[in-house]
Amino acid sequence: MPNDLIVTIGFVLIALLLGAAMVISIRRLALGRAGNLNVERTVDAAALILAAALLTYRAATLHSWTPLRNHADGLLLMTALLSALLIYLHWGGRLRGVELFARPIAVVLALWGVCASWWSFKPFSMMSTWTVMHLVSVYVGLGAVVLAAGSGALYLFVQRQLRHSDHAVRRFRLLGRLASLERVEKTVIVTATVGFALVTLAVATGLVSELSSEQWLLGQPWWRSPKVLLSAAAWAVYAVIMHVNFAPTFRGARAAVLSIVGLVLWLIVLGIALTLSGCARYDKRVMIGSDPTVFEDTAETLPPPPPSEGR
Amino acid sequence: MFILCLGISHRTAPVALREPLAMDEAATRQALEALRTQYPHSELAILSTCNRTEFYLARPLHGHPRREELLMWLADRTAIQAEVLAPAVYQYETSRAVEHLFGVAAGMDSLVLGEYQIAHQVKRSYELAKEFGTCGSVLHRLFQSAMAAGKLVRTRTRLGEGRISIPSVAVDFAAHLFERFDDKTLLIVGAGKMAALAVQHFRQRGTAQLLICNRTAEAARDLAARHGGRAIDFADLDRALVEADMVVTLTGSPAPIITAKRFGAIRKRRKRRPLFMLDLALPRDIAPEVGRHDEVYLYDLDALQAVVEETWRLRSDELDAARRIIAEQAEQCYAQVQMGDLGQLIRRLRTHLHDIGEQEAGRIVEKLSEADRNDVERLVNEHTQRLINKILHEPLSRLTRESGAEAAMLATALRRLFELGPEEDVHPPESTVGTPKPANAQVPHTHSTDVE
Repeated sequence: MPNDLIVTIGFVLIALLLGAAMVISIRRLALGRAGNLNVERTVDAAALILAAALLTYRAATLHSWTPLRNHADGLLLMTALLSALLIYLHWGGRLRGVELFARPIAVVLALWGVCASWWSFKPFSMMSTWTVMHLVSVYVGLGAVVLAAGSGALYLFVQRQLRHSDHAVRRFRLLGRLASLERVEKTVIVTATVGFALVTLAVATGLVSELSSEQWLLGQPWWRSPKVLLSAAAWAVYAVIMHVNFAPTFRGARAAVLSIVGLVLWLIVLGIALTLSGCARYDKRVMIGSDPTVFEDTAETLPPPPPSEGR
Repeated sequence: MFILCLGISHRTAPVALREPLAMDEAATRQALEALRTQYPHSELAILSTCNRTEFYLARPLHGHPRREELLMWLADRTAIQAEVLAPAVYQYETSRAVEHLFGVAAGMDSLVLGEYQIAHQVKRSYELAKEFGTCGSVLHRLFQSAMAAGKLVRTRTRLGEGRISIPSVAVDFAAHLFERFDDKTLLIVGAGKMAALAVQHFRQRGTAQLLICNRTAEAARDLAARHGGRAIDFADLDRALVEADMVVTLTGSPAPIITAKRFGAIRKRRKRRPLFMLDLALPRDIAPEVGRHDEVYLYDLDALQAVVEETWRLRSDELDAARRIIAEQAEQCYAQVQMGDLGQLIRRLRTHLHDIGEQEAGRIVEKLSEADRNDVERLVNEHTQRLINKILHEPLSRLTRESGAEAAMLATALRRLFELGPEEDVHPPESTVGTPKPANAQVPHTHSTDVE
C-alpha cells in the first residue's frame, strides 16, 4: 500500500505530463513538426502547478508547514523546480533544445517519486537547522545539476551534428532548432557553478550536521564513507567545470561529459543516502499503518561515537 | 477595369537592357507623377528591382495607356529605341497579370527562387502608388492580395527555407557555433571577390573585428579599408590565427597554408577557444587534419555546396505546391475585382434608371394635377408605356445596330438577364407557329422611336 496515495497519484500524473511533453518536444525538434510549443509550455506549467500543489498540501496538512520531511517531498520540490526552469528556458528560446535532454531526467525523477511515495516513504529527521539547510541544498542543487547535465548532453549532441561529415539540409535545419554551441557551453558553466555552490553547501551543512550529532551515521572514519567520498568527487567535478575558462584542457566536450558524470555521482550519493542504512538521518520512530503523521515512539539508539575519534 | 502588366525582367533581358530601365525610389516617384498627369483615369504601380521593372495598370477596357504608349514613354525616358525594347518586354492581361504579380510577390519569379526581399519591394511599390494617388480600388485589392498570397506561400510551403548562396550558408554554419558575433574576430585569408562577399555577410551579422591577410598586402589593405577591417601582413598569420574566432580562407595557393603543424604550434596560445574555419579555396588552404582538433569546426566548399544544392532541390520540389496556391489566390482576387466592377455597374444602372423615373414622374404628376378623374387611367398607362420605352430605348437600339457575334452576345445576355426563355422561343412569329410559348416569353419591344 502507498504511504500517501494522493502523492503517488500526483507523481504518476507529473510523470505522464512530463512524458507527454517529452514526446512532443522530440517530435518538434527531431522531426521538425511545428506548432507544439504552446502545448509543451502548458504541459510543463501543469506539471509545475501539480508538484507545487502537492508540496503545499503535504506541508500544510501533514507537516505543520515544515517542508522536506521526506524524500518524496524532496522529489516534488525537484520536479517543480525543473518544470519551472524548463518553462523559463523555453520562453523566448533561451536555450533551445535543452528540453530534449532535461525532460527525460525530470521524468525519471518523477518516477522515482512514485517509488519513493509508494515503497520507501522514509521521513527525515529534522533535528537541526543544519539538516534543513542540507536537505534544501541537496534538492535545489540537484535541480542545477540536472540542468547542467541536460545542457552537457545538448552540447555533445550539437557538436556531433556540427562535426558530421554528411551536411544534409535536414541536419542543418535541426541545428537551426537548437541553441548555439557557445550558448550551451555558457549554460553548462553557469549551471555547474550554481551546482558547485549548492553541492558545497550541501556537503558543508551535512558534515556540520553529522559532526554535531550525538549519533554516528557515516561509520568510522567518517571521511571514508561512500557518501562522503562520492560527494567530494561530485564537488570536485563541478569545481573543474566552473573553471574551464581558466583550465582550457577541460573546455568544450570534456566539460559537457563532466557535467553528466557530476549528475550520475550526485544521483548515486542520493541513492546511497536513501537506500543504504546509516547514510542518512531518518526519523527513527516507526510509522503506525500508512499514515505518515502517526508514529510509534520506538526510536532505536545508535551507538555513540568512539572516544578515540575525538569528535 | 482592364488589368495589364507590362515589364522587363532577368528572364527576358540582359542586365545591359535592364539597367537603364531600373528606377530607384526618386525615379519611381517622378515616373508615377508623370504618368498620373498623362493618364489621370488609370491606376498605376511601378515595381522596380535589380532584376525587374514592371508597370501594373488598371484602366477602362478602351482606356489608356496602351502597350505602345507605355513603350514609347519608356523609350523617351531611357533613350532606348522602342523597337529595341519591344522584344524584351512581356505583357500579361487580366487574370494572367494578377497571377504574375502574385508569383512575383511569392518570390517564384525571382532569380533566387523563393527569396524574401521581393515581398518588401512589392510592398514599397504599393506604398508609393498609394502616396501618389495612382492606386485605386483595383490595384489596392490586387497588391494587398498579392502580399497576402506571398505570405501564404511562405507559410504553407518551404519555398523560402534555407540559404542558397555559399557565403550566407557559411554564416549560418558559424551561427550554429556562436551565439553572437559582436564579440568575435573574423580572419579572412585572401582578398578576392568571394572574400569581399564573405566579409559582407559576416559584417551583416555584426562581426566585431575584421582581419584581412593576403600575400599581396595592397589587396588586403584595399579590402580592409572598404569594410572597416585591419590588414595583416602575411608573415603575421600565426598571430592573427591566435586572435581569430572565425577564419575564412580563399587563396589560390597550390598547397595548404594552415597545416596541422602550424596550427598545432598556436593551439596552446588559443586556449582551446572554439574556432570556426571555412575553406573556400580549391585546392584547399587548410589541411583536413586541423579539423580533427576538438575545438576546430572546419568546413570546406563541398560541405557548403551540399547544403546549397539540397536547398535548391527542396525549393524546386515546393514550386508546384506554391503554384497551386498562387493560382487559387489569383483566381479569387480576380473574381473579387470583377465583382467590384459589377457593383459599380449596378450602381450606375440604378442611378440611370432613377433619373429616367424622376423625369417621367415629374411629368405625370404635373399632368395628373390638371387631369379629370376619367383621364387618370389613360395617363397612368401612357406613363408606364413611356417609362418602359425610355428604359429599353438605348439597349434595344444598340441590339438592332449590332450584327454578327456582338449581336448574338447581346441577345444571349438579354435572354439570360430578363429570363426570356431558350433561344427558339424568341424566333420570329412565323417560325414559332404551332409551338406553345412559355408564359413568361416576350418578344422584345423595338418601338424605340415612340419614346421620342
